[in-house]
Amino acid sequence: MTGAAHAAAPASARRRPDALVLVFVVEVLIAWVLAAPWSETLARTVGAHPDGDRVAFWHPGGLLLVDLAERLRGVLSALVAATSIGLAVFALASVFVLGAWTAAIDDPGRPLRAAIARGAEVFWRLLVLGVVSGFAACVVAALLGIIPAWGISVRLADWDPRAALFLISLPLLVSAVFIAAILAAADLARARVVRHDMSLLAALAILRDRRAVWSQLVASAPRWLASIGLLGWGAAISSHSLSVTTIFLSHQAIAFARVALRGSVLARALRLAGARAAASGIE
Amino acid sequence: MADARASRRRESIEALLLAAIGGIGLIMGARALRPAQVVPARPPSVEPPLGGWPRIAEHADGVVRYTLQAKLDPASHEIDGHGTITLKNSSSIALNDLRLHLYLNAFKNDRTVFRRARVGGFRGDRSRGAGYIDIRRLSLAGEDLWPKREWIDHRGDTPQDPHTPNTAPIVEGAPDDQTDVRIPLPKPLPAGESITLEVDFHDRLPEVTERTGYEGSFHFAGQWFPKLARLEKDGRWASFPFHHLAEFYADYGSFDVTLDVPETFTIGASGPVVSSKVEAGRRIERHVIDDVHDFAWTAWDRFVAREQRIEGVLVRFLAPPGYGAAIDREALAVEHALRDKNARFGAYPYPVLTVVHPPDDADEAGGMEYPTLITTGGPWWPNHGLHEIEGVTIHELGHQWFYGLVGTHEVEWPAGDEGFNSYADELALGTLFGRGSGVTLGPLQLSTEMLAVRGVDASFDEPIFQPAHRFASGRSYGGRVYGATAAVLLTLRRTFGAAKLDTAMGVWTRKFRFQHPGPEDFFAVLGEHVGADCEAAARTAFSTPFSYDVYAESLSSEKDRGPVGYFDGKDGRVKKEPEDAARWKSSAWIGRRGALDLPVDVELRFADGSRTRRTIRFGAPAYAVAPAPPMIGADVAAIALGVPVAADTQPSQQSPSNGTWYRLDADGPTQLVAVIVDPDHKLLVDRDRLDNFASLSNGRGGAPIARERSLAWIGVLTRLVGP
Ligand SMILES: [Zn+2]
Repeated sequence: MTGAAHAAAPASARRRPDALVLVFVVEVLIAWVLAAPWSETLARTVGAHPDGDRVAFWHPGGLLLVDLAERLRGVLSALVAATSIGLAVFALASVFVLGAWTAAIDDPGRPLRAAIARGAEVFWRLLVLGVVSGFAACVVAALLGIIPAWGISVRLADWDPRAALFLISLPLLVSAVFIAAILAAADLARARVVRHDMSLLAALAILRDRRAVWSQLVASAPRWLASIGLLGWGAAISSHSLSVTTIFLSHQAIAFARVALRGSVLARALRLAGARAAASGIE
Repeated sequence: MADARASRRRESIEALLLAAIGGIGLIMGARALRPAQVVPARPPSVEPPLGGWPRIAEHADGVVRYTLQAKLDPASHEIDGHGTITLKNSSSIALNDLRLHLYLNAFKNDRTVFRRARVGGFRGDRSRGAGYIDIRRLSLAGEDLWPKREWIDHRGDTPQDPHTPNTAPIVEGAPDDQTDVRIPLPKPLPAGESITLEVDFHDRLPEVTERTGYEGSFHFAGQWFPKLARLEKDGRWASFPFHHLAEFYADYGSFDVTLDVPETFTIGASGPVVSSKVEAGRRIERHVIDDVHDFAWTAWDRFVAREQRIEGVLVRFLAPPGYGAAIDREALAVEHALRDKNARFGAYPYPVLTVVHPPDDADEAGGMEYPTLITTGGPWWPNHGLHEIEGVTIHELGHQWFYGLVGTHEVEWPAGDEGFNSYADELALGTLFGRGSGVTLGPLQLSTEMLAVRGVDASFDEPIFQPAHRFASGRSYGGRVYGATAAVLLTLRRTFGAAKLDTAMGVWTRKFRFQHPGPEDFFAVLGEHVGADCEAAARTAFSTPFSYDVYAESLSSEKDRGPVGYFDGKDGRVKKEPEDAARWKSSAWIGRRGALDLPVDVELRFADGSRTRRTIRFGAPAYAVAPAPPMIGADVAAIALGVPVAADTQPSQQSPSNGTWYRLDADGPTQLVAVIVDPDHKLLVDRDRLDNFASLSNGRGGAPIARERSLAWIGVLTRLVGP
């Protein structure tokens, strides 16, 4: 790849609908596999009711839920364990998907097969990057957020709880901003690894470029907000008495939109990585 | 350059648009989960019995009179008390002794009945700092009787007053328990006569534990004075130590209590304030109240007070700073509950009510009832769909009737106050919040009936009507006394008629106001005002180790093809071929486990969409060997489809049932596809509702909602950990 080629076709999630759909399909398939034990268990317990399983969940008063909880007491931990293990395995596999997807977005002209190969190449670097940034986010959350908030709350035990809540939320907000910056920087580093085949340390040098991190953060924030807000749309939709099919289609449309928003954040990072790299001559 | 500016503007617009989508989504999501605005409901209409309600006593027959002064030292958490205690011998015989309860001594050491009781998990943290009450003088006409005291250790056949036969020991050996004390009288007190004792006592409050004590500068004084035991009509004293699971029992009387605390403290106490002054840095408040059987008070230098007249009662709310929203919720609950309970159980007779919301770290003082003073608890934030503040406020207010005005024996019959009151909670919460009386989160409505249902199969099938200390554990006590009592009464109300049950409970609380009735009185009221079968069901449910489950065992529905096969007739043997008759032979098998005999609704659903309902009775179980019913009898009762069928409530000899099962036949022109037992969830005592339905498709339809929701939720998780 040459710098000229990048300039000719800027990274864009929208120009790689094939990769977008593929990522979405992978996520839905995994979710479907992980959800199957839950829905199967519920079908066995409440499926025979002539009013369907609606009666178990939304019958006003929720009395069947008590019996359901009693019936599933031993099964529940098994279900949770199966889902957790499945999610952990998927989290690992998704590092590879992320690499391939970033590579596809990076160059709209790159065939999917080549993008997947690139995903395999950068797997270990992205994995370490993910672990390091996740660890950094946890440290920041603890040092700037949870520990100070806890310290304040202990000292404010006698305060008016509303004032105490306000003060306690300050360190939490500050740590949230720093965590967001870490996530934005991690995306930039991923983009540099994929685009420029940088070593991990070289990619992490982006941390010195505060303007790049800041503009990535500014670009990501509305997309993250939209992504979280879409969950609210989902909750609002399922609180209406619509048909199961309508709710299913709406929820999956929302899930697709959230994947697309993630793609857009990645494309942003790639465009920034390219522009900055050209300017500072790292390429 | 212009290009760059245009693209930057486009990006800004895009960002704004995305932020708007997100913001609107968050608001919509929050709105979807936002609980509905609640307002106090109008009072329910309750039918009086034929001939009207029983006369409600205006006053109690005062048996005791306490005139006490109490001075609080908040630094040492000690109370200095003195005053007089007057007792009228309201029994039919002369008294040779007195009995006093020194409940505060339950927290004196770890050898008391209270602290030794093995109750498993239940309120009352045993690790908290100890407290006690000392009597320094108890004199009658100048003679100090205290040196002659005898501690009663309830271990068995220690010599006792002949009027007080020993009850069975309730815990093995508790020689260090000083919660129950006998004071011999120098000379017998004849029936109808009174004596007045002068008393000096000294309390050291424990760290707040099980309703009483201190936490920082917050003080709650419950069971803080030497309290006369209840004198039964036959001259027996109701004698018992303070047990961890038990509460109290006392005679009605009057209290004139002068409280003395530092000036900066705010006082809440039973009864109205008759005088209040600040003198030499001390706040001195006198509270006087008649027709009650206890007196409690609290003092804290951080209380925020609010007074409000609700349904004619001057209600004083005391809460920590910043708990204004909690007070709002409590005020709404008090307004609703006063309307509800005044109509159901007879009007609240006192001019005042104090509602204390203890600070968070003293929450063990919360959720307790005293005459005209209740304690609540819960978070400071506004209504958020979880109704625990309203629930606890309504419950504690309800105790003004169930324990306060109807003075049942809380130790011997805890269901009579806690259980009946939990039942009353359900009625009041139901009209305030509908089916979401516990939780309202968007479409999810969880009723507090869930707790009642859980109580039915909490731990053991112990009888519900038994003394508190007989229960196996705190868990079993809580489940049976609170949950199962409410479940049984709600079940009776739904199966034998809401109006009748409401009348019966209205009679119970009116007829026995300021009395001390027992379980037999209650069964009699049920029998008279609801019916003999309701009384019988109540006796089974409350007084035997009952367990109850109804279920749909199976169903079958086959085409009736007319006579098929070889038939011998006058003209020889005829072979009949199947006809394509449009009739179905259908049956549903319904089962019952347990002896409780209740009317059970059964809904039958047919292929053409029609449904029909019948009410069946299993009768008393016929486990004993009985003459076999005729093999062929009037056992096939075809149901006329689409026409409401009169309830066949009496199983006849020919009924295809032996008390454990019931076959419902429903032959007709359309196929029977499903059966639902107890479709309206009337039978809260049913141990399992998941076995109450059966269908021909037998679950092949799957669980579409479960499938959709689990896919959506796990999809959120895969996105979280995904690329
Ligand atoms: Zn209670």
